[in-house]
Amino acid sequence: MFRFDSFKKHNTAENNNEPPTFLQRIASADSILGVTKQRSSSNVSTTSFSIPMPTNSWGMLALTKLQDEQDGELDDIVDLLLTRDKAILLLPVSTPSHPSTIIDREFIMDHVVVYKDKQRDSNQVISLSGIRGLFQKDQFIALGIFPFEISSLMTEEPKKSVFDSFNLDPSSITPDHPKYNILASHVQLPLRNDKLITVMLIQRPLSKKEVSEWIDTKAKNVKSIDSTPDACSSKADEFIKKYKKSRPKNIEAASNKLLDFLDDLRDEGVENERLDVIETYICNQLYDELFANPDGDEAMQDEALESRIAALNLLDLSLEHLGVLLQPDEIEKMNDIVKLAGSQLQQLNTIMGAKEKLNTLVKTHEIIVHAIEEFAKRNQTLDTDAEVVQEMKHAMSTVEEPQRTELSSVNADILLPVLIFTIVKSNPTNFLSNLRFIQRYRRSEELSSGQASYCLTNMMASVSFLETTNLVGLGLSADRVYSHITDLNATKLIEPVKQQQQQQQGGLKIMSDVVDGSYKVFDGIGKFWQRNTQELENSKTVTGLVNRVRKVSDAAQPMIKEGLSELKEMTTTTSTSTTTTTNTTKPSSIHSDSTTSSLPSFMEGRNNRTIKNKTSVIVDGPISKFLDMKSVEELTIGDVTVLLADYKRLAAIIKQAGLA
Amino acid sequence: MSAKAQQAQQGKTYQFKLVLLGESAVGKSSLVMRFVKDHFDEYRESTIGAAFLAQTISLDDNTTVKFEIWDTAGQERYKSLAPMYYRNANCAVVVYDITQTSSLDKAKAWVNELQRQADPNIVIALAGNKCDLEARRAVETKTAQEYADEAGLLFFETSAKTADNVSELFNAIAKRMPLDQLADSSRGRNRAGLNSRGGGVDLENSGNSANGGCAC
Repeated sequence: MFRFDSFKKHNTAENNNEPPTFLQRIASADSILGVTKQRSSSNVSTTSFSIPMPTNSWGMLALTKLQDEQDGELDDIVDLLLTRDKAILLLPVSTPSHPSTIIDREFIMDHVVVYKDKQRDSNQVISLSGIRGLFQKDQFIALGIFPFEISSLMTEEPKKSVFDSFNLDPSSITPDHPKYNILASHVQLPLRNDKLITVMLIQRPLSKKEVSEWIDTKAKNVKSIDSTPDACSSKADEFIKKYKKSRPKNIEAASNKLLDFLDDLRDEGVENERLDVIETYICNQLYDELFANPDGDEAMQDEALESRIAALNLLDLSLEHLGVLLQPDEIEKMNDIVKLAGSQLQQLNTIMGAKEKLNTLVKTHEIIVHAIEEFAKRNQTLDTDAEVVQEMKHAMSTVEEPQRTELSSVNADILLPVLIFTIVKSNPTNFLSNLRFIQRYRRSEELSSGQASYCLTNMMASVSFLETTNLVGLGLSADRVYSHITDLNATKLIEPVKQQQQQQQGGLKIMSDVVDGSYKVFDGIGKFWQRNTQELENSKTVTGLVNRVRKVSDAAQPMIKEGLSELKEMTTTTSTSTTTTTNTTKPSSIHSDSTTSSLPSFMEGRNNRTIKNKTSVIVDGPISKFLDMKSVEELTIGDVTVLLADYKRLAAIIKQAGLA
Repeated sequence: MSAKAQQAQQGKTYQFKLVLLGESAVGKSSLVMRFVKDHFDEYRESTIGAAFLAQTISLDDNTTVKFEIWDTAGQERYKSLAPMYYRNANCAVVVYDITQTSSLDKAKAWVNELQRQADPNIVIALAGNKCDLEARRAVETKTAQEYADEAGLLFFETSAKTADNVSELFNAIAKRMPLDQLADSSRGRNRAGLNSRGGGVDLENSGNSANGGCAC
């Protein structure tokens, strides 16, 4: 048996698309502070504020490259940044997966954007590499790629015509555009010779490749059915028109309506291939109506799943927890496989046809299966008797004995755990809604049998596993949660904010990230605990507390979020000093109730229990003032500090309860 | 029932969904790989390894049976997911390892569950695999045979390594399938339940996975 413990080490370098990075960001919150101070001379004091950007992040690497490049390769870009105030440098705060990643000119070209006009009163920009996009609501939204080489951007003002081609109305921006969250704008950093430039911090690197892949998938989707117009295509158009006129009451009715229509066509003798084209066409045309309502229950289930997955990531879920043992040197290879397969899942939202979505699931399976088969083959040829090979074979089959028949292939014993791991590592948005979309709109005879149907079942099973599994069953320890909470307490969440209002914005944005993130994690962890109660000592107490913490974060999260946007609007320069005046009302004693009644299902008994807990635990609950608040309007700036302090206090209580 | 009858030139082809159950160490997939590799045709229908395979066998001149074989993860922690796989299955092969007594107990548990929860017409076969390892035998043929008779199962001792009884197993299943009934019900729309996820079932079963614990 081999340990899997090198994974943790690996994880720190590989966090660029994992949700819980906020912890790491907080942990390294001082890094840019240190770096900028060091680099700038003492008279440039404006740069000393805190942005959670690790020194090994893409952004810092790019900035260092621009600062230090000696051979003049990047001089033109540096000049551009220093001389033209319509050029802005975007710095991603995420970290590359390989520590030795090289930042090339191409990368920098992707991240220098030029505004449409000097006054910046348009939000449209184009990168030196030709990515067109716009800034909207704290996001950079990629719109497309300019088809020609635009070397002129370097030397002269971009011609208006460059932008004219995408002067679009904002409503035409669909949810599938590649988006990049902006964490802070108007950040001043020294570039060379103490000259300051304005940079913008974004969450992850902008990539021309990603944008062009998105364009490709979109082009595939829009494929018209009119290439061979026939009776079917006019019927399909008629169906769409009718559908829009009288919308089905609910999504089940929508599913029946579309499937009935396709069944009728089939009964008229339309070939399967043609039916698939029509299915795809209608899915594309009516996508927004057919996909789950973003405010509905299903969207909430999506979010719940995402937060559970975020919690699993925080707890460093590994393949070992899922029943697959790997050697340290195999882990990296497996991570690559998982990443590649996960990128397929992340594309689901950009693919609109039910059949095409289903194909994406099959492709995810194929990537995993082929990679593992190759992997095994190579190992086999090396040395069949080597312990390494035996161990790999062992992992491949989870066979208890070393002898194996030569008829090995990737089976469900390895495939399912790797699939689950892939879902956890990629945490695709709206995953459940996408699976349901396939179930609802893929022609039923295609779903009742066949390989694709098996793949869909695997995905549904994986989701079901992730929704219902518990920490103890997986061998994950709650201790890790506590240590993270301690980290949170130990780290200053927000550095004292300086006079400049822009900086304040940056800081508040960070805080909202923190709250967002920890909300998600608490939510996820809370859900785990719900199922763990029978196994944990003092379980009642813990769960009760977690439930209450969840309530607080539930309540606080939207308030703080909206409150922040209000704060931004206010031109006040009040410094929200967050010297945490924690009134650390430590849990004086936790009364553990020994008369534990074993409830068959905790979910049913949950409400009763929570009430019981209130009597058995002698600690102060969350500040009732905030729980009673109906809207953000009631929240004042000062409350943010109090909320934060109470939040920390509650975190400490959870910790105490767990150790008691 | 998801079985389909297709009018082929020389006769009828029936398609059946077969689900594979059993502990992870018993060689479920080796058994199927042996079955599929010994019949060369149509092997390439699967692109996802041994997890999903399709195989056609001829019962007689007029009848062909196509098995669609769904593998399931055998680890205890995934046990609660099995209903999603055996839903709409026409037949099941429950595999144990003749050198491991405990694997027969697991197999019995699967049989119980299938008889309780799966389609009432499901055909179940019990396969005692690794019968080439006679020296290490821990489960007597007689014991298993008696159990199988009592529970109304097909029973074979197989070896994926030597191919003993592998074809026989699948042929026997094909013969046991109620082909005549299926021919009539073949063209029904199989949509019921597609829209409801297995969530309810899983919630009930979540206790199982908690008690099962983690083997590693």
